[in-house]
Amino acid sequence: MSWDTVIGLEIHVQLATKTKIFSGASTAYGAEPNTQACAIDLAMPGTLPVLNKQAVNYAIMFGLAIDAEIGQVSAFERKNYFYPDLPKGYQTTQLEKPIVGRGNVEIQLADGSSKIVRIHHAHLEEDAGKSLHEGNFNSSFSGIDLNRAGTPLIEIVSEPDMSNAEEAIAFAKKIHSIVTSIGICDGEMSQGSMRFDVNVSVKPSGSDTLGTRTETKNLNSFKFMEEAIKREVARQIDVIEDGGTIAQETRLYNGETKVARSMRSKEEANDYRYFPCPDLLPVVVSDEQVEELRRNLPELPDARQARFVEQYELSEYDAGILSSDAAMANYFETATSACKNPKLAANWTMGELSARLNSQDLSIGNSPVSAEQLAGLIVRIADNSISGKMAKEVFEAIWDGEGSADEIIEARGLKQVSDSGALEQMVVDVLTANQAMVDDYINTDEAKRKKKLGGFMGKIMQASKGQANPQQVNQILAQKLNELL
Amino acid sequence: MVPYATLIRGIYRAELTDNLMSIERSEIEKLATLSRIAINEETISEVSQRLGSVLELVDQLQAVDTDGVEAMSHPMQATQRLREDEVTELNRREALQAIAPETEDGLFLVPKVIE
Repeated sequence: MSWDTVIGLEIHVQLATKTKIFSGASTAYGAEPNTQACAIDLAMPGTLPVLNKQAVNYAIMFGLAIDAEIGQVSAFERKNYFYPDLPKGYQTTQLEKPIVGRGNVEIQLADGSSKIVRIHHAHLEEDAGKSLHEGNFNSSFSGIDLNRAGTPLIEIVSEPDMSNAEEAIAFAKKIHSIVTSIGICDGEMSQGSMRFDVNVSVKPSGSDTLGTRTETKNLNSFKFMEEAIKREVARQIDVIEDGGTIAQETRLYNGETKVARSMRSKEEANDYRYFPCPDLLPVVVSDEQVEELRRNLPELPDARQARFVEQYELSEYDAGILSSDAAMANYFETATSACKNPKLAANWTMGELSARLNSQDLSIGNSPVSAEQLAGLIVRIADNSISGKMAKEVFEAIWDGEGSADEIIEARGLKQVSDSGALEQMVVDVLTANQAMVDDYINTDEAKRKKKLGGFMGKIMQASKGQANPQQVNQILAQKLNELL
Repeated sequence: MVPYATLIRGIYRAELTDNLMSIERSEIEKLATLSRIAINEETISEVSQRLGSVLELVDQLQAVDTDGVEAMSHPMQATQRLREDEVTELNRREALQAIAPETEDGLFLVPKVIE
């Protein structure tokens, strides 16, 4: 029997505001515990929330980016549950009147096709704090850090429009690309800036009736998400084919052990008892505000891709990769404007640089090699000062903080010898020192002589300690040997 | 639907007995659990009566014809004031943790919770 998979996503995006959604405490990442948790974030009696204008604007910008309706009047509700990292006993969120209504996101798939994923809505809400279960404290306690409490989020809820892991990942990456391109989220997945909840169900192929779904919560990498979906689909098919039924439940996936476990079933599901938050008035968004945000909306990934193809003559594929990540796109453009060589800048950004960053789990924003430094290296590759092989050595040295490309080339004596007088002398010296090889060359059939050139090249490059410009040497060598025939 | 019916969405499952609303014991117990409120045997019938009278009031509201009336999310004729995105709250951890029962290394300590 064959099965269809149905997937819907809920994506939590931390907004890149300086302060919390309802208080003026900083949201900077990595601060000492509870140094950015003020009386409002701690739910002290007598405090009142005041909504952050930038959080509202960022949510509207997301709505504009996906062509969604913007809720002219939106309202906040309280979602009630008890957990120590939620001091108020409720999360302030939106239910009945979210700020962003229905929209569409187009995704591109590996086979070149594209697909529309519908967005049901996106709403504003606050993040919770963090609970630490192990630390430098008595093991009968949990430690609570409320720095994250009150960080503004938008929760983006898709329709169940995806039918396999590839589509779900493409959608998640597209949302990442959109929110980073318009600058409303830093996109740092390792810091929890984006988290995914995945709803998965299976049904017999072609059936109109949806199967029972499970929700796997809090996935914070594309890789974990892909694994979790594939495993959950396989698990559900196994259960059904063995005559069982799928229980509607919430599951947690552990990326380290690759095991998902049930967190709670529907029977014990939280009953959140939503009600309108009496501390917050309705949020009214004016047409002028929306139009101003629309006018100033930064370039979207699809538009940027088209521009890269047009302006820099990159392939669709290369332009797609570079434009999918706003930080990478900016890096590429900075390097290109400094070195005036878009093709080499694209190759180095996507190749050597990305590989090194990935191997050390660094984001391009934290690259030890700046765009300007990479441009400096590309200039020396393009003008033949250094060979491709040397360029890699120079790149490593820039990465290790040894200075600019020119400084390193100078310090290590890597500059290619392109002075034709010096090269000619070098070729003559090698030919003189290797008379037997020269005789052999002369006595060989004309058709096979070409194969003998490699031997001379090797000796000449060795004599120059790899610094001779190979193209030039090739030319001079051919000319000198011809003269001997 | 009257908007404030959402207020009691979780508990509006009561059954009418004659003219008096009352709430089943199991509902009271569930609500108590969700609200983390201890309700003992002696008070359970009183709580049931009192919540029942709230539901009677809601029932009267439900009877009003609200077709074409825009749902109201706040009784005041005002809209939310917005705040500029500037840091105004600085670190006051020491003062705020001075009144906490247990702290360690800047963390608030609570009885162990593991999901």
